Amino acid sequence: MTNKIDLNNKARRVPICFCIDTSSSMGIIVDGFETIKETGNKIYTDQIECKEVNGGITLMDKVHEAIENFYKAILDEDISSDSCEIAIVTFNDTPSIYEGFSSVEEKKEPKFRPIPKSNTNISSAISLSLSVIEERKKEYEKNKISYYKPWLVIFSDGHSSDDVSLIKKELSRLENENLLYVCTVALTENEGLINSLKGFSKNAPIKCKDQNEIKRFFDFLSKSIYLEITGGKTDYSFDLDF
Amino acid sequence: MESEAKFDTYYGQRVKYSFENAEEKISLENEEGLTLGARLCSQKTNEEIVIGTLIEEGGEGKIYASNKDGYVLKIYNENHRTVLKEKKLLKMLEMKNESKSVCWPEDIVTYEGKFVGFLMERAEGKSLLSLVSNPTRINKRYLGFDRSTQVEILIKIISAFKYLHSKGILVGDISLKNIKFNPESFDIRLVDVDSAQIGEFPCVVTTDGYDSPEAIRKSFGGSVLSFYNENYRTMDMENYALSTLIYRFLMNGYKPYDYRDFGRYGYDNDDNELSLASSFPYGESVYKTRYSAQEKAIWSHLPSFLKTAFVNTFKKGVRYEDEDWLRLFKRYKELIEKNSFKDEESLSFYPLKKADYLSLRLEAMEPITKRGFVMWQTVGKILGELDDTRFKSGGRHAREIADALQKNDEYIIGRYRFKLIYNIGVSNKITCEYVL
Repeated sequence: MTNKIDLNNKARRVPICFCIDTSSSMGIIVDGFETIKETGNKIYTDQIECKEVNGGITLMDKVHEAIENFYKAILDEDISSDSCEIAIVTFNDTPSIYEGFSSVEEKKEPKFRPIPKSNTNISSAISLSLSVIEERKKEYEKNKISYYKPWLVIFSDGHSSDDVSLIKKELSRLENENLLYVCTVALTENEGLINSLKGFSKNAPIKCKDQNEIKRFFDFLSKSIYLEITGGKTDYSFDLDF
Repeated sequence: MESEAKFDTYYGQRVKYSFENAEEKISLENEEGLTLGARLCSQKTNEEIVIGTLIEEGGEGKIYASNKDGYVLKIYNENHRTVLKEKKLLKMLEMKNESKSVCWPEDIVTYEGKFVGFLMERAEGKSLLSLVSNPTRINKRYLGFDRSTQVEILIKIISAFKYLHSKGILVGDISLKNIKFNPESFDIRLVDVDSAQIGEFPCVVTTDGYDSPEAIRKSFGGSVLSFYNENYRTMDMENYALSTLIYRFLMNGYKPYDYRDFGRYGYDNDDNELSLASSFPYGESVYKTRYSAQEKAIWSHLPSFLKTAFVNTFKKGVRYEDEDWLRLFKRYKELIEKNSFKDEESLSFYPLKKADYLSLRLEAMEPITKRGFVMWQTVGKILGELDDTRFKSGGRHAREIADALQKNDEYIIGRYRFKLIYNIGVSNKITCEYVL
């Protein structure tokens, strides 16, 4: 899954792993309501009863769009495009590697499908993400490519269905030892759900309740990466007005 | 800047201001109002300047578009808006910038009647970091960029530095990121020069990897930044940083002391610059094995006079000045224009294969006059062009080589192979190649 490292490119790399929730609740309609047609079926997302519809724009569609814009912003900056390498892990009942680490130029169009009637097993997804990051780090070291501290960005809108206590401890250790940036993005307005995403990072979850905020988050991320590479700033505060 | 104007220089002295409240902050009643759409006032012309969209964010402040065509605003953050900054900017405005390659502050702007930043011409283009690191991307995005373009860019850069130095100004925070280029014309502009050392105002910012060993050594026990806060930089420190910039630009971003046997996060040899200061890998042809093949290939194609200059700088502590570099790069340009490089790879900004011999081939012709062919003088011309310290004694070496060539058509001294070719038309010719 992981692409080979371009050894001609000597830029110091910034590995970023997106860990994206594809549980059924990511399929809820958030825009384009005028195009909705009900199918008459009822479905359950994270134990909540919902009406099944065709049409509309889902939360997941918004995430796709924001990621594509993020890719574009990275490619627009030569230095960022040399340095930035991205992997994507998706998760619902089980986690899977959607795409291994590669430069943004090699990325395929992000199209993740929310899985009907699925849960949010966030703990196993983070474990998989960490192993993907670890593997990439080993490759950098083998090839004598230097790298910045890796980023793990978790996108979720719901309760975790599995036990998260151990993985929270591990993330906390990695953050405290200055080995990883962890950033949690809450794709919901629901305070209860946002609270459930606390503790994965020492920073509070970033609330992205709509398309504009998701876009703003990715703008912030691309700028932060640029600043890190150019040495303009090294202090990240996610709880600030990003 | 008026041509005769030159600032007082305080090179190497302890920082001391002629005023007392340097660190006093300039605070505003309405701090939040200083953002997009805020109406500022130009100090020189009294015209209204409106803050436009945010372009870039740095450590000290933000760069915004403005309603003045072709101009941008630098607005300092609350913490960096001090009496010191204001006085420094006023000092900078005492002169009119005459160099197109320098993006110089042109006017102070005020908000609520207080200093908040300055106006400068917008430097379009990309940072020079775009022209290093990833050859595949560079080839794709910057068609036509080659060694010849690189040399021309360097001549423009060094000339811009020379201009500022002639005014007593040290740029200080020299780095590839602080130089922008136009992707079509490859014209350059020095940006972020408001941090320069000018008169009694020191340069208190830096970029890792450009600090001279002496600055690091003197800041022992503290950070190099606190050293710059307390001491004015010297011309030697400036020259070292400029030499590093030149080296990194030619060497695809590699640092002079870059170890290739690291990789893990947290190990960056910037911290170890000082301990590595004697570990510059190259002599004129000797490579340490830990350096990558690509790095060695680029080095192998550099003309010997540049290799000598880099070895002298990074191994022997010699400081080449702007004038010296300018002379070397003008010479490099001439050689490229005269097609002196036999190997096409030598004209690439990223040669993949190591040169089998130095592709530079020098030659000198001398008409055979009635007095005959004065060979040692012809050899002397070549030695002059080689600019190699080992031939500093000039005549003695020229005679030695000429004598040898009279006995045998070929003579190798050190790494140089001299050949004599008789009777080309009415001239004899002597060639010189560098042998690895």
